[in-house]
Amino acid sequence: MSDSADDLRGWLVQRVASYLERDPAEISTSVSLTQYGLDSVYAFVMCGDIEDHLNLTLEPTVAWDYRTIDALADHLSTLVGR
Amino acid sequence: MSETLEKLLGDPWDPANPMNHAAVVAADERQEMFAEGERLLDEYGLNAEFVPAGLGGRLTGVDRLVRVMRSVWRRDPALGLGYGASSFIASVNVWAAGDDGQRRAFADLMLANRKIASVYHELAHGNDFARAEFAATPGPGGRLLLNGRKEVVTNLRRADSLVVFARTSAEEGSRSHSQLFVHKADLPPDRMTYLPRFPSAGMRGVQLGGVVFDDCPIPDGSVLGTPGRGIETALRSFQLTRTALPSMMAGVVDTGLRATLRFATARTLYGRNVAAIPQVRSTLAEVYADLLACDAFGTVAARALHLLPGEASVYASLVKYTVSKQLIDAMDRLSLVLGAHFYIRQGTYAVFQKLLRDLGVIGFGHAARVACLATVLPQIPQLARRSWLIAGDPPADLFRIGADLPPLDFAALRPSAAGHESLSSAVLADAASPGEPGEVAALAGLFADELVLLKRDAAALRPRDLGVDARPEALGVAARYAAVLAASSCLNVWRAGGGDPGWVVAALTRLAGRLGRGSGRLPEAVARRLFDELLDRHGENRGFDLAGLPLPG
Repeated sequence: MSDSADDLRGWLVQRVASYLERDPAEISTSVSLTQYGLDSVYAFVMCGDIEDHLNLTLEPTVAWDYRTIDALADHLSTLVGR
Repeated sequence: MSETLEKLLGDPWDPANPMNHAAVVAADERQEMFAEGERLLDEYGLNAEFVPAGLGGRLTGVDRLVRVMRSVWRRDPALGLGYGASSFIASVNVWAAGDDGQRRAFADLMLANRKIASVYHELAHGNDFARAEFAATPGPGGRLLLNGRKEVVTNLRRADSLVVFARTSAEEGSRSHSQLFVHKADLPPDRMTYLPRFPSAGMRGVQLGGVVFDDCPIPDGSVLGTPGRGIETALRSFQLTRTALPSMMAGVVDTGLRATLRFATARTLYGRNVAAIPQVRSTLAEVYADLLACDAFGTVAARALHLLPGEASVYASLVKYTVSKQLIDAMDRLSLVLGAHFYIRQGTYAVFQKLLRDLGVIGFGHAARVACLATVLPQIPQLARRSWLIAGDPPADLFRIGADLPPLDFAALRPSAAGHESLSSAVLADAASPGEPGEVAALAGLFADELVLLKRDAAALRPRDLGVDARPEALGVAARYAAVLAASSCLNVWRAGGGDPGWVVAALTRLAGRLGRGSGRLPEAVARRLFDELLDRHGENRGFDLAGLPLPG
């Protein structure tokens, strides 16, 4: 698996941009996903997409605990590295 | 229904019974809780039904709890809410997140016939929990201080203790709220002010109150579970209440249907008995079919809490959505048969107008119907990809009404099903026993077709359609899915139990109508079978649910 934190960060930016129907260039990796309007249950959409992308099982609340793309990418890269 | 409780409460149509409909209506006219009813429920120890058996109560299966509580709801919804549901809603937070001491304390209060209020609601935020403002923040001494207002809360004033949903962090997001379990005796009285009671259209005897807290300190150790986990606790534990409460309220329509039958069989119009008018007969048969469908879906979802807890987040919200609509529509249709008698607040049928007003809470109380759809919608693409049309069979006991259930495991309830759901695929033909009657197989086929279409439509949902900006068509996918789940419940309960397929044909015909597949009207022969069975049950004084047990009187 070659999913470094940077790769994951880029992939997450694309995903979040698609959820919001916005240009990926407008998405900051250090802004909380809630501020972009992705609410508590929407986080389950993201969790499912990440699971499919990385072929692993996550707590559905993972995006509640890691609230920015940066935090999520770092967390996921440690999981993938294991 | 519970035999013991039914016997204690007696025949509600008996003029000599102090617990009769007339007494319930009189209490409503006085805008009071029904005192004699509360006394008898204390005598029975109703609260024990909400307390797990391991803590000294009688809660073993959620399906059983529903049956017992229908005995209360079918007599007086104000008792159902004001004696029952309020403490039940508070309790599940404690069972799911509390420590041993908190669980013990809650159980002891319940078993001593005390009231505990569930203090969630803020008028400004409605179902939008994540934006609730009422705060619990550390004061100078480190103790948490409560600040803010809560509104339209059942039993707030008379409860001894409270389960309060509060913001415990200023950060945005879903880890900023917690539930607090506090006893009023521990709070300085000058830091809390009650608001005047909120007058309401129904549930007029229920104490719907409000409170304002001003720097009110609470004892250490009041938080339920890990601080900040409150939204997760609510999403998990309310799966019990969202499943059970609408299903209990089927008891209200049982009485509504019984009142209408009494009226229709006693009254003569145009030279004939009202019950002989074909339009009336088909309306009554259809309401009966809807009640049975509600019971099947509600019972299967209740059993899923025990048998498929990881999937229950989906079923709970969609039972709330479906059953609430079916029951409200059923009462509205019955009111047309009663004509002026549904509007008059005195006489033999006066209980109907009270039940109709009280039942209104089912559409918005504890979670609005559309909020239930919106809760499931984000899960739909994943459910479609991972489960629809391909999931393995659910456990056979899911559909065996009355079979023993494993104990509830609150830790196994998940905020999301993560794409796992096995009830919808059980409508498929290959799950059926061979030799299914043609009329059943044809109806099952409609729902199998619908699931195919739903899978296609789910794949086409835009990400934007999964959040608060969802188009009505996207919410429609969740609503159509709910109808498939209800149909699968009916079909498989019938497959497991066998017997005359009349009811399942009727229930599926009604559900198909909700999908725009047919009118939902019962074919004449089916309506006649259902109506005859309904008259038999009415004559024998048996419940209008799948169990059909005898009632007192």
